Amino acid sequence: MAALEMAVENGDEEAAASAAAKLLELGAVPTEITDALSHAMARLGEKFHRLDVFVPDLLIAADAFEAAMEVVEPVLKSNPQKPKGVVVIGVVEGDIHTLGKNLVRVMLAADGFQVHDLGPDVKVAAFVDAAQRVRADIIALSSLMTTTMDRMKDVLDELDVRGTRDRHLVLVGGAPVTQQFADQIGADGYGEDATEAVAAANRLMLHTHGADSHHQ
Amino acid sequence: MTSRQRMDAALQGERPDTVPIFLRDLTLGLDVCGFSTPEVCAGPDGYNPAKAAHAVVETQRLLGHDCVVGGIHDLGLDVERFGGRVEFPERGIPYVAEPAFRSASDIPEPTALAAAPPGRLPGLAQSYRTVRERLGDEVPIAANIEGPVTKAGLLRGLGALLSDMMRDPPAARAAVELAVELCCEHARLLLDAGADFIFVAASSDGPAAIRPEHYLEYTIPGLVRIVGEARDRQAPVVFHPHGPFTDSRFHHLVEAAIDTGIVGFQFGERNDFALARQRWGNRICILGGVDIPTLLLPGPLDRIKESTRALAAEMGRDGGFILMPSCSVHRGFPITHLQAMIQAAREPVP
Repeated sequence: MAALEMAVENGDEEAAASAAAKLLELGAVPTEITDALSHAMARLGEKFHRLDVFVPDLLIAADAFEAAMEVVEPVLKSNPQKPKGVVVIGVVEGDIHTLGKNLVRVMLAADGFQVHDLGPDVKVAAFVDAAQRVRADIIALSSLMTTTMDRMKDVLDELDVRGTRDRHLVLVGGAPVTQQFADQIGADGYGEDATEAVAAANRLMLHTHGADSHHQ
Repeated sequence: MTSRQRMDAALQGERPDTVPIFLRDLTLGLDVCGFSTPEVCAGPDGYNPAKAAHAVVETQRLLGHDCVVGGIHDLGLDVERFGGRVEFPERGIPYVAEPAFRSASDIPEPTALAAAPPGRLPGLAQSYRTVRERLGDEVPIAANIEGPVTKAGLLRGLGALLSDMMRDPPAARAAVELAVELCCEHARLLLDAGADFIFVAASSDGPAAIRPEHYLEYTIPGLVRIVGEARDRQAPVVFHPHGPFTDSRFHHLVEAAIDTGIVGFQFGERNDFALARQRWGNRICILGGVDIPTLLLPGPLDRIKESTRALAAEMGRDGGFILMPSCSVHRGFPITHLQAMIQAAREPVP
């Protein structure tokens, strides 16, 4: 497990995939492998939060994490685990900056959430449609531009219009987004960076539904 | 003092009559004049220099700030020249929809610049000339150009570039070298078109995006080249990378930038301005100070005024300070908030 965690933290895709395969060969329980992957990403996230590592480190670690997950997932599918929660994530309409959103997606997946990534430039209705379709606990909205931040409020308004605001928690983040802005638009949570976004998602799930229950 | 005298004094570390204000409004003028984004940036004839210049001039006349960027700026000029795609939302700001270099092998040698089509760049330069004619000499013009890694990230896609830095450094170097050539080309063109100084806007050059060692490896040599180009035309350079530079772990990055010969450093969000002034205020002009996400955007007006007054009094006391929003200002921004900021900054300092 240590070799796997080190490969992820070093962003070594080949070593991570190979370590995961080796562990499976040796009879490791798949969830132990995903736990190790999760620990590695969480540790790296903490370092990122403290600015001990930087965005490029997280990017290549995310690739290594996903390479290892590709090895483990087929085995996991035969014995699916209940996710911590279901998240629909995307960058709001008019904004195509995906870097931060991608990091949050990987960190959430590493932490045990089932994540549905809608990509960049996502229309308001598409967020709400997807959330309804996959019965999402959380809608995670990202924006890097002050000019597109207001689309986040539009998503909340759309939930109100459809009468489904109480079915989904809304988490917001991105460079210009602040706790103050999140409060102002009535979002349920805010993440200053990828690490904080995961912590906020966990808090939301815990405080709103209890540790191990789904929103719907 | 005129706006030019005020800006010149601050850039030279002196105390002007009042704190100079630079909005670095890149697309705000589109709202002021009621123009759509495509009609100025991407009309049938490409960039429309007359409307761009009109938007810049009318915004300055409305708000009275001390320095302007000479055109409506969009990040996609060079991306288009190398085959990428830029979107121009009707009332939004232009953005890169597809970078120019999808794979590292697509990145040409810097010499390829000579054969690249000029695209909308001559239109932008014409806007600068028109702004100079219309505003006269009393209002200085900043040539807004992207920083080395920032420009390379636009051409290659930022995620791809950052991955290249870790896994394929020759590819990252190739992208940044081409980017620096482009930065220098823009600097020459815009200074010749009437700009007074270079403003290097570098959101991806700094620990908000890259490792400190990458900043030293990629950004600083590029900045040296840009400063050299500007020096050949007797123009000063101001640098604005993103990141928490007043954190003691990153002080050496500020020092490295100062050593290139820049005259000003704009600190972005999450920086300690008192510390910046105390540590570097006797060597460079410090710019910035009005935080967009936590103050200028949310308001309310009284809070903006109160914070701006305090900032102007504290940072303007000894000169060498230019008041700016923490990053660029675009269309969609509440103009009344900017007016409140400017009004407060203009009040006499006790």
